[in-house]
Amino acid sequence: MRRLVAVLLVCLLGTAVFAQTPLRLAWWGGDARHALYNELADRYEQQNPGVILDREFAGWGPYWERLATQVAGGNAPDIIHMHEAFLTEYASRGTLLDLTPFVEDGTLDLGDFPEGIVDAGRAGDAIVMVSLGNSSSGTHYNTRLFDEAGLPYPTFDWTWAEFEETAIAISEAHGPGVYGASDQGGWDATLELFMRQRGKTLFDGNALGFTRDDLVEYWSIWQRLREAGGVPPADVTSERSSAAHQDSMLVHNVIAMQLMSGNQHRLFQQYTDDGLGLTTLPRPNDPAAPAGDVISGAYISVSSRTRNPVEAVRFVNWLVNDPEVARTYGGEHGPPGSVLMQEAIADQMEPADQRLMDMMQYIAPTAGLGEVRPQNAGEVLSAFTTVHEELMFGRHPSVESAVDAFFAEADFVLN
Amino acid sequence: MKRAPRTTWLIHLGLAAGAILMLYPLLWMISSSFKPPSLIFRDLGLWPSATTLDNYRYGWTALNIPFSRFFLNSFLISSLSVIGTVISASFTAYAFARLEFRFKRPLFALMLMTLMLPGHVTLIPQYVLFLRLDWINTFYPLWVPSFFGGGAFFIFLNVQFIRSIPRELDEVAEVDGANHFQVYWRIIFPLSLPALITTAVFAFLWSWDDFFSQLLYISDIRLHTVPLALRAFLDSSGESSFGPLFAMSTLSLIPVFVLFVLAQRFLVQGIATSGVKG
Amino acid sequence: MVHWAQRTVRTLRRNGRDGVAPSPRRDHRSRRARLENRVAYIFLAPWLIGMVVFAIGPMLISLYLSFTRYDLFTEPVWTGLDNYTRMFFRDTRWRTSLEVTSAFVFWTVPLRLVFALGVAMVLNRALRGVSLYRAIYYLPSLLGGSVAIAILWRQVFGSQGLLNQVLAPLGLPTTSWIANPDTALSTLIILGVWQFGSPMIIFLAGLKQIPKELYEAANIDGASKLAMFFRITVPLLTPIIFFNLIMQMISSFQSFTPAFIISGGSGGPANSTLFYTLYLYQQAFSSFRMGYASALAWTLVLIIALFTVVNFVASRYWVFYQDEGKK
Repeated sequence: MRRLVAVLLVCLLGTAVFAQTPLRLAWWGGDARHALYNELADRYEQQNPGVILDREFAGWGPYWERLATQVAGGNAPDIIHMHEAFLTEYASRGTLLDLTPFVEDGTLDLGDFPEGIVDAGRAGDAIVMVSLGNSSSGTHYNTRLFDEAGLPYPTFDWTWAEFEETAIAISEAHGPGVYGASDQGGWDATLELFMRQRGKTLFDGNALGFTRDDLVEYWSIWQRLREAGGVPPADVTSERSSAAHQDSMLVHNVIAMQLMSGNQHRLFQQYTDDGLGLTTLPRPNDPAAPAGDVISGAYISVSSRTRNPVEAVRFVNWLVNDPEVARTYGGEHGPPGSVLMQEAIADQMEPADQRLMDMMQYIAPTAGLGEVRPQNAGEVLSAFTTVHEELMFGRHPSVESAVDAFFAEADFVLN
Repeated sequence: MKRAPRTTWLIHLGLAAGAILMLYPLLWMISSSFKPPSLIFRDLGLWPSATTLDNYRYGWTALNIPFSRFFLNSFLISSLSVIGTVISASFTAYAFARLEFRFKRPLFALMLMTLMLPGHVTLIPQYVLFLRLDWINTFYPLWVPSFFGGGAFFIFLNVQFIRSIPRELDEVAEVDGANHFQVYWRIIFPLSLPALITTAVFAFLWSWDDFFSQLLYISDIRLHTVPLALRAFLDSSGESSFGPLFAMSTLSLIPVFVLFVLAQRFLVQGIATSGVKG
Repeated sequence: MVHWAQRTVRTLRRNGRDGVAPSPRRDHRSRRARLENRVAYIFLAPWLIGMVVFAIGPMLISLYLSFTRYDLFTEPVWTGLDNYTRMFFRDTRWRTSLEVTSAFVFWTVPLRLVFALGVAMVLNRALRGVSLYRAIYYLPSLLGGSVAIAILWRQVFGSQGLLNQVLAPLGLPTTSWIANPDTALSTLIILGVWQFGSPMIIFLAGLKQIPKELYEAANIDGASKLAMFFRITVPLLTPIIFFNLIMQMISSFQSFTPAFIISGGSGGPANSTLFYTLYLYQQAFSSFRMGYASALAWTLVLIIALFTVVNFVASRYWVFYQDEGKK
């Protein structure tokens, strides 16, 4: 009997060895995230004998170039990390697997995900990606610079008018070299927020979803702030436009407020000894208008050409639903999508994570997803940044003429 | 003729002053590699106010596999590329510089054209080609092509050097009964040694630094090269580790720099070109 | 007095005047010629195989794609000359990128060559530690577009940079030179010139090949250093100068990495560092317009080829080869 069991075991192990399922898992990140994912992938391999996870990783820029080449060449990784900025490009061309059947048969359990978060992963009716963590943009501020200026910290319900006043007051209190806020006139996230507060959207189908007047108002905020010294001069802003956290104006105490993605909060805090705070992006001046916050995040997808869809989806399910994973993962991309996972990591949050959680809970009732973007949306938005730079540096006689230039550019790209 | 010692001294002074201008970023990088990460962007001076070896300790093993593995991989690829490039570029150059053959001009023009087309647009067809050959996740795409011509830059370089060798030398050998292969081996190869060493140096450096090809064709961590491993410390969307990046970059420059100095020494002293007698 | 030099130059002048290698008129049907033809193709074989296997196919495919709309993930659709008309008549960013690149080429190539040759002349002496000096002067090129150089550039040309610390006390205007659209490209040109290492190393190899006897003979005749430089060094180095000129031109037209030093690859501020290949890259991999990117690429090929042909024709008048004997 014992012998028989032994033989059986050997056979089973043998088939296990021969029936190895290699899955290619691709993600973007730096060395800390690579270590995290390697740890998780090792754990999954141990728990699931027969599954081999071949790992492909790179920084954000190289990741997308390699992925585009692989998909074009018909050699996409099985499990792909996705971002909403690229969703349209990949999903609309059928490169991502429709996960809906797997949700229906229970392989992928999205029961603990709020409906809105599940919908964020939809392209048309199909679920093509699952949230790994979501956050919204907010205002990261340096408490010391506020204290020294004798100003109260911004609250969750502050408005654009208060934002302008606060920024100018800080600049005046601290004198030259320190400014109230970062200049975000060229940032699409605040643009989108501003338009949603006016009941508009960035895009409407294959055209812009807002008017010239809307953009004139938006850029005028920043034009006023530049003139009043509430934000740094154009050359200082532009000089640090692509600086890393450790080299950012917020960490160097050049500005007191940085408008940026909420999930970057802990990184900023890591590199400064001053206490940081996190609040919402400014609300509309009209209290009746919607707050407009946009939920953004990182997602995981499966290639439509994978040879092992079931195994790939099983891994995805494990990654987003296993409490042990959540505790290791620790909100790497912001609070996890599943409510259960959020609870699982509640006790291990650092103060910076807690501040992000607080803000997210405050905006949750009104926050929503960005609308589906047309193809080439990214190109329109980079033209938006460029024209704003021209405006900052005085290459346009007025805000109106810059707006005209942008609309012409958008028209060229979208048609 | 001996130069006056004073002139020599002045030249040294001038060269040293220029050298500081050239060395500064390297010195800054070395200094930063010994700074605690929180200081790197705050304390921009050359002399660190606090030092640590953590960047080296952490960086060496940050990717689970010791960095020595990546050095080995890079060395293997670069060495093979050097061999392939030197041999095949020199061969091809000899034909273009010395021999008459049909379609010479169109072929030469075609060769130069391969340099003029930006690589981004041939990336995908090339990727598909290597995929069909089942060469993805192997070193082959990174060195095999160098054995087939070694690139137009090196061919053209060697053509120009060979054409600077007086033809009379070939003719003397030909009168002695040497065929084209013997002329190549006895005259052209030894006399174009400065060009070949230069070819070897650049072939090494450029294949060592070729991040994008390595990114596309290598994904297995055990096959990672030095540039791939270095770039793993950088992520423009999130967290970058500059301390370990500078530490490992410093280490990765040492072998390349030493090799470069040795090659130049060889070029300065080793080759006894008594001159080419015209 | 300078008969030695006149003689050298006269001999050189009599020699090759051709861009490519000389092709003396010969009877191709002769046995000798047929043999040489065969031998040549044996020498060329590895390169030809490589061309056919690795190069020609992808090049032809990209040429074909330039007449299509191709988004990487679905089949290309033939659109005739659409990409080209879009580029020539409607795309203002293409024009910007062409202007940026032309300015970069116009300043970088000659300045880099002058520095490379000047430093190479100095480093061609029998000095102590000269190999080390060579390596040090090559270092900026070795570091390429690394983070360290990006930071150095900001320390020098940034708003708090060295340059401003010199200018401010003098009452001269200051700005962040790397971040101002009016000056950003100039700082990249300076960067390009500072990285003169590759042509310098090639010049050094070329200088090594010049026969010392010529200098010795000139010395005996009492020629000045300057005369020797212009009558021996320069003429004998012309093939290498020509090589560096062509190669620097081609690579400067394709400059890509310098833009990452100050804008992280966006081409900013205000498109002032939008290099041609950077724009092409953005179109291919950010906007998924590989067909259009291919059209951009082949237009660049035509532009570079035009400059190259002009240079090859001009080279007949100033480049002297040693390879045409008394045949």
